[in-house]
Amino acid sequence: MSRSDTDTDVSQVGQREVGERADLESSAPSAETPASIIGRSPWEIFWAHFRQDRFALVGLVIIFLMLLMAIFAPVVASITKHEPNQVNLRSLDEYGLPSAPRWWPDKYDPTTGEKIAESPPGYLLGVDDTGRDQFVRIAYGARTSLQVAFIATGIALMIGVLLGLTAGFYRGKVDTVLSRATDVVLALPILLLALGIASACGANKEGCFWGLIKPGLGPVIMIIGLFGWPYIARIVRGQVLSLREKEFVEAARSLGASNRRIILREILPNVAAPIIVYTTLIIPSNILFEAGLSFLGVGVPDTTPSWGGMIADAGSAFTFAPWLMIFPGLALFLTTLAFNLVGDGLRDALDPRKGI
Amino acid sequence: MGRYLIRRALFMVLVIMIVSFLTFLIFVKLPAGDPARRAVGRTTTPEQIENATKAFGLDKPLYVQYWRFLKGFIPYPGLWLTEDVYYSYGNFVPVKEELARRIPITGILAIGAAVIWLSIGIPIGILSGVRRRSVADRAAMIFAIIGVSMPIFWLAQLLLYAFWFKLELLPSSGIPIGYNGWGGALRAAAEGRFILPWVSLAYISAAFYARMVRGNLIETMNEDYIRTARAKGLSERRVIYKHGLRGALTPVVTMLGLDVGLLLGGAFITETVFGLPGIGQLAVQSIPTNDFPMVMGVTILGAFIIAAANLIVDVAYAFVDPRVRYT
Amino acid sequence: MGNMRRGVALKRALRVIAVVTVLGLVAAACGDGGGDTGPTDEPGQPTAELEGGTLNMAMLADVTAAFDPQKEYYSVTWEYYRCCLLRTLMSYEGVPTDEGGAQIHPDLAAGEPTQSEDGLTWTYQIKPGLMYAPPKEDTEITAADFIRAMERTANPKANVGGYSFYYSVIEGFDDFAAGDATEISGITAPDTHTLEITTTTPLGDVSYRFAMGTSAPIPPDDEGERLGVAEGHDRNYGRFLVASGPYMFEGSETMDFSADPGDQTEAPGYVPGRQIVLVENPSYDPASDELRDHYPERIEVRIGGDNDDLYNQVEQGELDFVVDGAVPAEKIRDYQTNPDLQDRINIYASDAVRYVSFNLGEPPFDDVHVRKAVNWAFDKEGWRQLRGGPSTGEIAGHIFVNSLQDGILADYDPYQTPNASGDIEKAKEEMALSKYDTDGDGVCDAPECQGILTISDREDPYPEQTALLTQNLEPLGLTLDVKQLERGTMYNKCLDPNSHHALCAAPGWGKDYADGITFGEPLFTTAGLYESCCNYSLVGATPEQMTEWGYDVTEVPSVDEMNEACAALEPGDERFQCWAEYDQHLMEEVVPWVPYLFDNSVDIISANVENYTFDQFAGLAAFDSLAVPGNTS
Repeated sequence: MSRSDTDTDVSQVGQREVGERADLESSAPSAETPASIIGRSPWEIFWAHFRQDRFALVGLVIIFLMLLMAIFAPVVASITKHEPNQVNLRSLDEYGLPSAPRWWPDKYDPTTGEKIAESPPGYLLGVDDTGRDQFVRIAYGARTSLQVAFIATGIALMIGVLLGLTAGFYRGKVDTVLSRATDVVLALPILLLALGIASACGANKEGCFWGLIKPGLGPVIMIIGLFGWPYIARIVRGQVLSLREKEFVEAARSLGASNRRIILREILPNVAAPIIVYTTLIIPSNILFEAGLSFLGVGVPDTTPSWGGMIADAGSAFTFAPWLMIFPGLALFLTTLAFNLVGDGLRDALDPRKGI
Repeated sequence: MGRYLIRRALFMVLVIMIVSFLTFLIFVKLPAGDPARRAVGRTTTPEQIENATKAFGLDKPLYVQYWRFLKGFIPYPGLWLTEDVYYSYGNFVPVKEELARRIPITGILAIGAAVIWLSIGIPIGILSGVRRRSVADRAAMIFAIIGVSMPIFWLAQLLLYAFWFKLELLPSSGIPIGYNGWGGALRAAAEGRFILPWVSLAYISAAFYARMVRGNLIETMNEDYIRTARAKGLSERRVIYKHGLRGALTPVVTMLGLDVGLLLGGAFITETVFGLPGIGQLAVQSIPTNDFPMVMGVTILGAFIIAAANLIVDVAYAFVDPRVRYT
Repeated sequence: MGNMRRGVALKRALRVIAVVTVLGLVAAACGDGGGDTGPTDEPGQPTAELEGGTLNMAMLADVTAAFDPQKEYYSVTWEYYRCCLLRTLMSYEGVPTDEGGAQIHPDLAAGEPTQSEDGLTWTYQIKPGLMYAPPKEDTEITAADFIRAMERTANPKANVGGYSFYYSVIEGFDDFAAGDATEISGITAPDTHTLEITTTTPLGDVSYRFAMGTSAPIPPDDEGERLGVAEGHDRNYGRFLVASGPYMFEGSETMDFSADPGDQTEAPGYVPGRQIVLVENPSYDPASDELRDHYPERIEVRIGGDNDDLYNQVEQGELDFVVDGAVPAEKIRDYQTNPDLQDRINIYASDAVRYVSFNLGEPPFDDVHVRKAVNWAFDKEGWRQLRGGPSTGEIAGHIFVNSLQDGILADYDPYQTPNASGDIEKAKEEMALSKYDTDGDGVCDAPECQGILTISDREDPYPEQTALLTQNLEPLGLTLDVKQLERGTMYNKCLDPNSHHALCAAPGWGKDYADGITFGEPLFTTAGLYESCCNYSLVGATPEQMTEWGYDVTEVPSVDEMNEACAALEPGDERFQCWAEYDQHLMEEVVPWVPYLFDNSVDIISANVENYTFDQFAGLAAFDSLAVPGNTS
């Protein structure tokens, strides 16, 4: 038996460098838990635990706020009267340098000691080196990040669950083929391929792969979705392998239930918990992956605000305009932190044996 | 064991083949444009483009081109990244030479960072796991969750801002002139030029390792054989350090092998932020300019190292985890 | 010709791009420039107190073809060749145009050439007794070595990316290149120190063509090796370069050309992508050279790094000079405002123009009124501010850089607006005349004005500039669909008429003959159309071509005749005047562009540098004139 088939396998998703690895330490609560506790409904038990986890609740609040920001980004833009790509040259100094937020404490350039230009009123977080409202761009950046978080992760989830269920349930040749395929995808240098696909698909109006993928957020989402499923598949497969031997599955089978029914009614509900936990934990990885690609300049185009891209742009300016680096970074960090907190909370609540 | 190794090695070859094919597929028809056109610059004549196309072998059918590149995979002297095919379309430098120049930088970066994150992550994980719910555990886990949530490029910039710009304690980036080869890389390391990159990489990984070790330790301590050990009357200390750790640290071997393999294949972001001329920086620079042989070279190297790391991990596993059987 | 090749790194503010600048015929003062030149001196008469020391430079990116003279078509390399590594038949003094920098002088030639009566043959005498750098210190530079260089220039295996087209006029050159002849009939050596060059048509600028690196002599090697020391190094001769100038790669003497080419080891002084170390060439005879300063004893160049970081190092004195960077705006501000720093910033006109081009075949820009309206609405001052403010260049009112017209049009701008910030009222008046504005309210109401395909560069400041343009054009009813691409891709897409782009928003163009033809021909005539060069506007395309490329518009204006008329004139006032009229015709009748900036080269130097001289030939500092006598290594 090879290592990848053992249950102790600790996998990792792609590149930690851009955080594209979910943290799999005891990543998935074992599937038996909900089934083994009888009496209170699993969800009642879950909620009783979860609500006591203050960190996780804070995480939920942050995610909720970020969602609000993403949804109401156009409202933010209309209140400030600055579109995310609107250039205001009057908010730059005569050398085209960005101006600081009005409340910025450090009023003097650290190297020259000269007074820093102040943004006009209405620019809450200052302007970037083009005279664009940084606050509005951060709000729109939330859209980019959350789209990646939900759509890309959703794609990965669907593929992973489907393949994992199939492999685990049918075993045999199907399992061998799917498991090997999973191994291959896991061994790919994903960031490298992602860099290639992203730069290939971003160069043309037509996009790439015969027009299937258009430039913009599309390639990034496709990459994450298409390369992110193997871990999910593995976890699901492992769970299903053990579940299908359980009494309640045997019972259902002896009652003449079809495979389809067994999968959907007996097995799927029981693997839901680990899937939910795992999904929450890979969301921050995926957000960081998009940010990393944009940071390297091959993610979304400049006209689509992305926190990673904003941090990259700010990198050359942090000696005289540190606010450009701090706020998008903070937004990104808080979002990933929030998802991680919620993920940890979910895991502990769903599998109380491992709680903090 | 022998058969198992052969099977794994064959699998490794398969993976590398697939990687090469995907890379070829993605990059060869990159809309970034014809490398020949790019090489001759803007002012040109159709004849010049034709010359360049021939010089690069781009006039041949695709399968011939793929075969030319594929030969570079064969680790036979003269064929492995052969200079006839594997040279930069940008500046005509052999890929092999460029890689050789960059490996020491990436190597020092990856190995140094790994040493740091192991020596931080594992003790913290053990401490947290042993003293569950203590103040130290809570602090450690906050440290860890911040780490796993941290975008590395942002952390890198914050560190640069603090330690280079504000406090002026450390050099910012880059490797000075004349620091060539392993000697040069070591010298740069001795001068502290790798400290910030190491710390950036290591903090995030240490956070992952701490969480992993803690979780594994807690899980292991619930296993039957630990209960048995306790029942035998062994001291708790002995139970933890003799039996518990073995189970908890086994996965670390796997993870470490794969992580170091990944980093050796190129720490794209860290090298870019800190201006380190390593493999990752080479990839990031070569892709947008469609320097195909260079990209292919980096990919081969990366895939090779990752695959080799997998193999080594598999073998190492046999020694640390008696439960794994090789059939 | 003027070539803005080569992008650098990712997402960095690249405010200046390299321009290959060749051949100066004009010694006219450029309108802008000025700046501080630091202490200057007479070139060719080295002042002892400026000599010595190690010059520490940095480059963001390596040269383009590892110093192979038959491939390098990049201004930075050309400066290394001119100042330091390669002497050519003729060369320049390495000073600004207004100090006579565009004038050509004998270098390896013993004097001015003589021309035959039919004007086709030029004869050069070569200075006797000049030797190559080690390991060829015992080999004298002779006429045959120039022929060898030409043969390598014609060799398709060796000239990838080079500029062999400049030499097609030599009799027999093309036949040799095609393999139909065993030698180039038009370049011969009647004796060891005489070189005869015969062209197929009379040509006044042969000397300028033999001032470029690809024509520099290549020493012979073993018997039977036709390409001499370059034999077997089709791809990488640059790393085995045998120097003839005041410097050579460190360790050049260790090269052994007697070995099999595959077994030879290159000079250790140049490590591609990492470093260039130049040391004094012991064979160099300063008495034979009146053109170069060769102040530093040693030149060390570190390749790679972050633009802003490198300039910080210049400020701190760890580096003396950055070759291919873009001085960050905040540094320009510091150096211009701080009295202690003011004499360490150097600003010169780099004889290049930046512009936005219209595709004349793509509606709505097939209508001259729409093109004029965009010219009126364009915020040139805003574009300059996004690039880094006034020091980055002079607002352009027309197409040809002023030095090519002797400054005749220096004050000319048919679309002058207050503060050069655009005039939306004038723009609307113009738009109202267009067929795309059916109700005449000055706002385009045709569907063609929506989603105009705009090709741009993804590096700063282009994304910001196109965002500004989008904003400026909105009141005219024009909306843009902007594609931001990597620089090389961007140029390829702009040139390819099949891409059907309507606007190309990020190109630039530099002179390289200091003659109007280097603007007039490649940019606006049929000779510059796909897939040759750079006529992005499709001016002069035939109806057949337009149909072939899939355009509905088949009639576009042509200026081929005007260009030919100017090209036929003798150099001088009449020719300047002709280019000026051509320029005016383009600006007012054809309107293929919005030219917005005549570019400056902006450099800062460290406190260690006691002399800075701008070389118009490469549009860069003359490296050998950067004096650092106090720098000891």
